[in-house]
Amino acid sequence: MKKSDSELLQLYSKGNVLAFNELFTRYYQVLCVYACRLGIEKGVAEDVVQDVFMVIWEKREKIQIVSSLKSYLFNSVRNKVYNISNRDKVKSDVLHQVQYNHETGKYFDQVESNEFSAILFQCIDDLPPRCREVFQLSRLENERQMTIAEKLGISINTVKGQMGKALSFIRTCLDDKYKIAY
Amino acid sequence: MEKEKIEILLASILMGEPSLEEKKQFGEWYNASDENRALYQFYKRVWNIAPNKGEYHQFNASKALNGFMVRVNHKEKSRHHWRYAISWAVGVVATLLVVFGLNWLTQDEKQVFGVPQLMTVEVPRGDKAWINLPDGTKVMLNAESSLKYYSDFGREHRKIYLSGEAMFDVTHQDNPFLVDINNKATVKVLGTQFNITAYPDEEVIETTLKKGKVHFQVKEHSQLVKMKPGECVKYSPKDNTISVSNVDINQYCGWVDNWLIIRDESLKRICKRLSRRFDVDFIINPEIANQLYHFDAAFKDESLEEVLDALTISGGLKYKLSRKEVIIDKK
Repeated sequence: MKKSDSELLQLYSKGNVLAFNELFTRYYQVLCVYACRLGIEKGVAEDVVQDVFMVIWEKREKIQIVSSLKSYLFNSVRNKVYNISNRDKVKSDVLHQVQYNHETGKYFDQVESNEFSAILFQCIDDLPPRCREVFQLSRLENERQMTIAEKLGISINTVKGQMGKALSFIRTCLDDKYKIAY
Repeated sequence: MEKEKIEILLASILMGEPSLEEKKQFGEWYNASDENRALYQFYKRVWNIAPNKGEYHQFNASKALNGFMVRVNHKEKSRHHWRYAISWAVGVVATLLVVFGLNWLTQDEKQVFGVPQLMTVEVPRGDKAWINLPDGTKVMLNAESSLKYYSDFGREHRKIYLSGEAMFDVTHQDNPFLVDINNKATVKVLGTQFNITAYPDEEVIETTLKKGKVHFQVKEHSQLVKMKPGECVKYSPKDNTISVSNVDINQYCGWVDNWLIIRDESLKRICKRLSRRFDVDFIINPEIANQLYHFDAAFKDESLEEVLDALTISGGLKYKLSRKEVIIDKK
């Protein structure tokens, strides 16, 4: 049985280290990719994410997270990355460079793009479980519709239906969060 | 068209396998208005920006967790000595968790901290794992292998039990580090890097020394082999014979960095190695199974298909891969 974030967090606050390990493994990759999308290098991203987990580790008994753990993690990573970028002028120049997009043939602001992709990222993570599975198998793993249907034991039409739902969810989610971010 | 239907249509287009009917519908919809085109561009951007497999896989959570625990150890060690003892045990548990998954959550943790318990780390086929031992020794355990030790490791003794394959980077201490190999032989070291291959289903136990000094001893022999770097000791428990030779270290230790190096081995043995690495079963035409093939190949991060293509082409063979089974036959 997969335990929820808050169950694991509660177990950890009572001293169960294995619960901490599970949370770490659950969010490590996502957060690292998220940090990279905010414009820092791979190695720095790993340090940032580990620092965020170090705070949780050290607050063992006192831990109190009001909102969800997921948004706490994403926000902490985001704040840390921005602190690094502000401290380091060179980095912030890199962050502001204008980039050429081969897809659209247009130039766009790297900052805007980082922000967009980072929020998109959270939205993907927020997808309802079934939708997320379909989205990840298709986009992340490049699986064919047929294979996804077989893997999840659903019909191809349901695969398409779930993917349609995922798209509409992401659109609404981006609308909401993008407004808040600016 | 209603909103829901449009999203399903777009989903099908983005996933890349639309039917003819869907293509036609999409064309009509797309050409109908600027608004429609903008909506498609929006989704296309989402699709392109969404993370892909490569981005995820450049980060290794279990490796990071091990590193994290080492950091925690150092921090807490400098703070309280007694807490250090607990935190290394925690590190061990962390490693076990990475290997076993969450089953451990339900177990009482007191078990781990009480009288010396036999700790087992097992790696299934198709995988490998880093293990940090309490004395700082690092062990990379290869597929289908197991490593056991008692929980008082590092305080009373430094003895571990290996079955399968592992690469060791042993921390130097006066207290010798002992590896018991399938209860048939022992390797005694002080501080060094070496590889042991001892799969119970293979006839030979191999120890290869990369750096430092190692003493290899067979249980039933009085003979003690003092190994030098670059040497490989091969021991056959069946005939009770030992041979020492100079070898290419990478052929034996390269698996740690995802290398797969094959040099003049029987097809049967090559397939055994592939079955562990890729978690597949092989069926080989018995006429060719024991034949020695003069392959000389080095693969890194290659897929099973890529390796099989290369081997069968150079060996004049053919293969058929279905789910988790590979059939190899003469051409």
